[in-house]
Amino acid sequence: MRLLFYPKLAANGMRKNRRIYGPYLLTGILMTAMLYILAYLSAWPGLNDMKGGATLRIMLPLGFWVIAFFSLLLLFYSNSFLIRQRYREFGLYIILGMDKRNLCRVIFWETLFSALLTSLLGLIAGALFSKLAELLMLNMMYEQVSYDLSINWDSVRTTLTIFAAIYLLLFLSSVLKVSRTNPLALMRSSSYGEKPPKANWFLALLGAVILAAAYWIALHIRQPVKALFAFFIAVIMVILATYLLMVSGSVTLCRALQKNKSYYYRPRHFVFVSSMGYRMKRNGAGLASICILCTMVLVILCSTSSLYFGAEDAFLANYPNSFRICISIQDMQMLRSGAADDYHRAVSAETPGAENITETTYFESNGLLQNDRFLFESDLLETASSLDLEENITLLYILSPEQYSKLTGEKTVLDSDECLLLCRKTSFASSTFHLSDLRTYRVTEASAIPDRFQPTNLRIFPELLLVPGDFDALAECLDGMTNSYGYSTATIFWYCSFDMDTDTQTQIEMQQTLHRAVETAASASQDGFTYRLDCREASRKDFFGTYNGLFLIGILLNIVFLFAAVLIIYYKQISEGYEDQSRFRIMQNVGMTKQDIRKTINAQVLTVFFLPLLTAGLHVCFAAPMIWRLLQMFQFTNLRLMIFVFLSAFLLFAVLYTLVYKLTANAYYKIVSGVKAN
Amino acid sequence: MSILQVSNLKKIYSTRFGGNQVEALRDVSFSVESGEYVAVMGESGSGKTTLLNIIAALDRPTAGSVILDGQDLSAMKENEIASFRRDNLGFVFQEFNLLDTFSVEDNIFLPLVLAGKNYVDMQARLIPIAQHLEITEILKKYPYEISGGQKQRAAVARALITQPKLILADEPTGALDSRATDELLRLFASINQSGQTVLMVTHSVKAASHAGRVLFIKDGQVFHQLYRGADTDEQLYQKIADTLTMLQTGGERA
Repeated sequence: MRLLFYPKLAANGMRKNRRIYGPYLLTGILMTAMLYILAYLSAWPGLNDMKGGATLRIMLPLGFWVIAFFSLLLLFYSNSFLIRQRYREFGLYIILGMDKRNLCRVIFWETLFSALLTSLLGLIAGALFSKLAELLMLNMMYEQVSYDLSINWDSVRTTLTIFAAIYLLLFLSSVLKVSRTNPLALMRSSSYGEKPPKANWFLALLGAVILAAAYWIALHIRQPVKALFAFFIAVIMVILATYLLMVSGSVTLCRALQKNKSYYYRPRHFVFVSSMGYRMKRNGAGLASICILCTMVLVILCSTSSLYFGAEDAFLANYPNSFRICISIQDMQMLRSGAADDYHRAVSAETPGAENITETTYFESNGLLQNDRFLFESDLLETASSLDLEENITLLYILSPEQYSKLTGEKTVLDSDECLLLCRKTSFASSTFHLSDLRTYRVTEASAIPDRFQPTNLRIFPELLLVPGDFDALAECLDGMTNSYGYSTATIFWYCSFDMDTDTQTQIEMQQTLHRAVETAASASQDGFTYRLDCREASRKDFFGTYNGLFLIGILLNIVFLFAAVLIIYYKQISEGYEDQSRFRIMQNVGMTKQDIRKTINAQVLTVFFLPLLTAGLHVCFAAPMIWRLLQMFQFTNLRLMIFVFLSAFLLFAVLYTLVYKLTANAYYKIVSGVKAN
Repeated sequence: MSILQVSNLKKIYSTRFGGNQVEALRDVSFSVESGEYVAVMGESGSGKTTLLNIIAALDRPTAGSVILDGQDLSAMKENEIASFRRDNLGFVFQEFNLLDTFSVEDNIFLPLVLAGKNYVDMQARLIPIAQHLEITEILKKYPYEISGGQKQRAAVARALITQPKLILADEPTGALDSRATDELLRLFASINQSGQTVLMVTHSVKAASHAGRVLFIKDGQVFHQLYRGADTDEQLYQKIADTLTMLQTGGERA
């Protein structure tokens, strides 16, 4: 009997505080389930055999730790709320003769019950949904699906260990909180007034400055490689600024409005402005958290779904044809002796029925485009830092006018000091072009590189296509040209791309025979050679594996973040409801109608509620250019699609958010109207 | 001239599912003349607060009527009542009911702001009242910074600033120490002398002994009333005490 006293008391306490305990337990269940799903997917054996599994093997554990960390934060947040709301009850226990040690026993049992309940339900939910996630993943990866349910006990153990640690920390922090404070004093605390919020101009200003700086960074970073780091810095700055602005900025604004007597002493502004200050003082941090979470959800939703929906586009842009082959040719001597024809014969013998054939030979080189001058990488290696090169590298192709005419089907006639200069992912405005110190050309035409000529699938770097009037002389000059390390300036390539109207399996088999044919043909005539052979169908799984894996993890993270935002909103509404109860009554006594009161409270709640959403929208707007640049690294190039995805994601999110508002507002009104006037 | 006419007031509270019915007021009738200072006395649960709430139109009677300055409150609509309350009634409560989000000054201004007055007018009205109540120094402070007595004087200022026809006070001395109580009662007396009608609900004999007339409520009815006549506060105090003893011991009306 005595043995069961504390467990019973704990169970009772949990039941009585359903309204605040419910969301806490729900958080625990959801986080357990999420963590299990991620652990399950990371440990999933199918990952090794799967195409694109490599990317997921890196991303899934990363997601796992993000969610584990987030579980800690979220559970701590709701637990601290829980303890705060229950000080009165704990105070009563002390009055009834409990000491703090007894109180800790109650807390111990409550924590234990919560841990058991959430772990059990969380794992059950996790087991069910892990199968769903697995099916989703297999489906996205175009793999065979099987429908048998399995539980990975290792993952169960990992998940339980992490949550055991979290609950232990929770218990310790609760005990610390209860033993540090005097619940007796806290029992009466609500009847004492609260200090008015102080305007802190410095912090408010600091917040504004940091935000402006972060926005400036977001708008001014041009290089995608640099963008990643800058994005990280800007994100941290935005988070900091959001907290500063929501906590001090809003209070400072309210105080400034109060100073303006003719604005402040109006029926509509009077109550609103003065209580907004208090509301923001208490809820600033919560609102900032909601805002950050909303921003995260929006950014993840936008970028992953842009990638997901743009994947086909990006894929086709990278692989415009079923096959693409580039084989190096050692020197002009070999080219003249008919190497290109050998390759042509070798390839066409293996590819009956090829369509849309594009075939050409060209020089390829890397380097920097500085104003109107192209500098070869081989020359720069001796002077410039390799980092500089890596970030600004430009690919240069040189085609003869005859080959170019063949490529485009247009007759091209050029004087020896003239050239065509075609660009991809860059632009060229000058009317003269310097090829290192070798040549200077007058540019007669500067347009885009034709889509059918695309020797690389890495559409990250800018590309230039030079068609010089004196191609033969230039070729002789470039032939065999090396820098002091013996690194050749330019390489001759035979390029061929074509489409095949056969099924995936046949094409993948054809890729194998082509590999053999190309190697045989190339090694017959030269010692060292390089070649690239891309088969669209063979690359498909790898390509989509990455994209869909990102999308899947994005969805999982979004569910967690969204839930966190909803949880904070719910707790905020509940706590505000209790605070507004007494104000509601006093205002009625001094002559406000119920509708008036409801209207002003409504206006406050709406402001508090939609401020984070709008701020998040603003953040996303400023993040968009940077996201666009980052997406380009993933070879996403459809700007209109991205804008469309962003708008629809925001709209979808706003609808969802409003729905949550409606639901939580109900809980709020129930509390506020629970007590009738006097 | 009678400013408040309460006739045959009846209020029955029923529990949530209509099972138990509690009769808070059975049959209360009385009237208050303009410029009068009336105290309503009774034990806890005698229906004092219910009566005050009905007079303030915060609650509706089951039967009977309240006519304030010639207007029947039970016939008014909700938003008419709110503005009527704002213009004609001033409230002073036991627990002060100051909004902690406002400074003392803004708390006093609240009813005027709601009535749409501009700042200059409000300021002009506040100055003499603040001087009379001796709260000029604390106007910029916040409720949490001042004492209970000061809070109650701020609440009185808030009640007075609309120049109401009637001031309703609900146990105004309930949360005050004896010095602050004396001060507040003196203040009520001096407000009353300057012509303000006051209706106070209390169970403190001391508070009631400053009034011009004392009504006793028991079991939801007006049981007895005392007029001050030419009595001093002390004499009235004795009479009230005797009446209460009589009410509690020999309780039954013949």
